[in-house]
Amino acid sequence: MTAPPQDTPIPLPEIPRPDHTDHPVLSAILAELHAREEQAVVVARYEDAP
Amino acid sequence: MTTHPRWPYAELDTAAHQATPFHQFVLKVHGRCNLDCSYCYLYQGADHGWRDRPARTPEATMLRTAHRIAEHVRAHRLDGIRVELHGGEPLLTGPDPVLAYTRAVRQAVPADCHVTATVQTNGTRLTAAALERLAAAGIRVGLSLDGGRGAHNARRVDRAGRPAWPAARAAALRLTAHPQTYAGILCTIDLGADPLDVYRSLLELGPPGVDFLLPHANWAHPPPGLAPSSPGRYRPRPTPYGDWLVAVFDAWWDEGRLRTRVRLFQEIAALLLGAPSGAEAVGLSPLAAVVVETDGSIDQVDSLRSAYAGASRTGLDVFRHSFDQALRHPGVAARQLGEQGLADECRACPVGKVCGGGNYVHRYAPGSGFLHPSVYCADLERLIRHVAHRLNRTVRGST
Repeated sequence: MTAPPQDTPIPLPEIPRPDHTDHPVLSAILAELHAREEQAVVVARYEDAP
Repeated sequence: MTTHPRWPYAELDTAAHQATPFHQFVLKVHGRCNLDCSYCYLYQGADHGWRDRPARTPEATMLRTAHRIAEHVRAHRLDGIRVELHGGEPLLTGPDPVLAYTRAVRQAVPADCHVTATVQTNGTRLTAAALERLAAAGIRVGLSLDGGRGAHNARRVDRAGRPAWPAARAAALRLTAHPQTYAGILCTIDLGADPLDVYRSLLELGPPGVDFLLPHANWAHPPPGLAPSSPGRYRPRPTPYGDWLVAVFDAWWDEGRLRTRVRLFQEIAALLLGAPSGAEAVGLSPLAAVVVETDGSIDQVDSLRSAYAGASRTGLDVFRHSFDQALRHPGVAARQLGEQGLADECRACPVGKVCGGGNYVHRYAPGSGFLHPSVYCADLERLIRHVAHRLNRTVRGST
């Protein structure tokens, strides 16, 4: 597959963060985001470490 | 003498930079490895500086490094840091050096600073006894594997050409019996391997988390599957890595339960939901990691070595300099600028705030440096738009 031929600036959708979900993977993501809110600053971690 | 590119070395004024303290310390235990992986950016790449450094970190250097880390923790009142024991192969001579280094850091930092220690290993030296000792010391273990089959790891061989896979697989299976110690698997993408076969075979090794890493490449040395070109945002452009990752994403998203965390996908989803990223592969969060080499040199992250010889060097070391001095280095500062550190094409891009320009090292072009889109630009957009589509459908009630 290739990226779209026209490079029109199609914006990404605005996706509201749900309070809860039945989707198990999304649920895990939301739980991690909730835990992350406790951090004073979110830093990017070096990728060659788990 | 290293000739650094214009960005950031000649063009970034660090005087006004508001630095984010280091939270992650990558400590080289050994500077050599028992494997000879064909794609290794450290030992097969442009930078041969490892030859000039000690094969192993002496105790005095460990203690000095621990002292400097403690100094940084106190100065910035950090309540938690991560220590990544790395190499080369950090378990090359067994677990003792890893245990010693971790102990030195834990003893040096204030009592209210939690130290999360992880050793990232190829697994070949992770014996049952070594694992028991690491687990007892509260050190987590991450594995580097390119899939859960021997064929996926054909490039991971020792100097005699013998496959690392049998020993690495044994290590993975040992780790499944120590879930508190098992940190996860880092897998470098190989387009020659079927993505679903790689993903499902990794699940059989029971990792709590997996990350799929784009091979280190740049505009001068593009990755397999992408044709050389000058830096820029090109459309249309083939997206083999994006397609590979999309296949894994769909399998992961549609699994019906969380089989394992996949960091890249979770960080993209987090960004799409308005949260900051915790990974250097995407997003605009400041990179707060620093490396200490076997000779005590304070370096930028190793992946920079894939760009040009000397790219990671700062000229600083733990004997003469503090980590605060390293924060002022232009290479370090450039990775904490957020949107200000992006090329114009990225700042204008509709997926720029999620992509964040991708991994910094993938933006490199000789001469001009790192102020370009990623060589994986189109692949990243492919993946991000796909995740956005699936996430949006899920959030709004259909899968």
